[in-house]
Amino acid sequence: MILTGNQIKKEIAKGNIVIDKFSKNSVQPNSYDFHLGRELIRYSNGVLNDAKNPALEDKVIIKDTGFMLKPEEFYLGITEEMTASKTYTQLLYGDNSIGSLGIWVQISAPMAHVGSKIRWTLEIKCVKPVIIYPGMKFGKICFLVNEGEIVPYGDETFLDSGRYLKNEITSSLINHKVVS
Amino acid sequence: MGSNYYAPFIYGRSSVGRLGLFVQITAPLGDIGFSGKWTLQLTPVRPVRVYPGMKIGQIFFLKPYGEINLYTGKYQNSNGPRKSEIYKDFRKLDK
Repeated sequence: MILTGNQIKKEIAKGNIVIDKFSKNSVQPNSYDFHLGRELIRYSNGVLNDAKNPALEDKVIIKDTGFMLKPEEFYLGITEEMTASKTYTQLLYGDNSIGSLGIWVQISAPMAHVGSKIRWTLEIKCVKPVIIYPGMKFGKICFLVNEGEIVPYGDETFLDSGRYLKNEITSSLINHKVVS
Repeated sequence: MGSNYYAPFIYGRSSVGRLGLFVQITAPLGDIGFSGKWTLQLTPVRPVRVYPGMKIGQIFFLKPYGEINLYTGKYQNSNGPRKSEIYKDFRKLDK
């Protein structure tokens, strides 16, 4: 089951969902709008093809006058909002207005495990050059009901035991544990 | 396509994915209460020829949990491909 906007508000009141900063204007029929934070990571030298070693990265600050994304680059962005839930699984998508600009948000990994408390790192790619702005509405997050006993993300039961539970933009950590 | 009772998701089908064609590059989740034709964000990995009327994807519906407020957004009742109207959101912010 997917939470309706009204239920998202109720679960926030009960403490089962945290959205910081929350605005009731961002509540949609079955999701919550998130906004684009100011920082971007761009991989330097275009080298991204060695999964076993960390890539070099540049940090870019998106100015109020905007920043042009280029199709040949791949970017990591971050949500303005921190979202958390120990009760529900979260899925993040771009919205229709962003997709219709030719922007992919989350090229591969839309799901946050139950127990996650994160500002989301956004996987961003564009089809044509496009100018984006800090704080713009960028997509939506929905919440799914789990069935079964919940062991939250970050528990040491799991292989990566919450290595992305950081409140900042984070590039791939795949080399540290999974590939060896 | 749409529903006043369930939340819609739209995806390309596997036969289209195997042609290297993205159907919805980022926005598979719709809103309860949306009614209209869906704008598809068609993006091929390599050149590919498409035909009118071909089966291209699937819509499925999730059961909602909680009281429902229906969608009344800017894309309601779309009857053809619609370009991004995100500029309207910026105008709202500027006011």
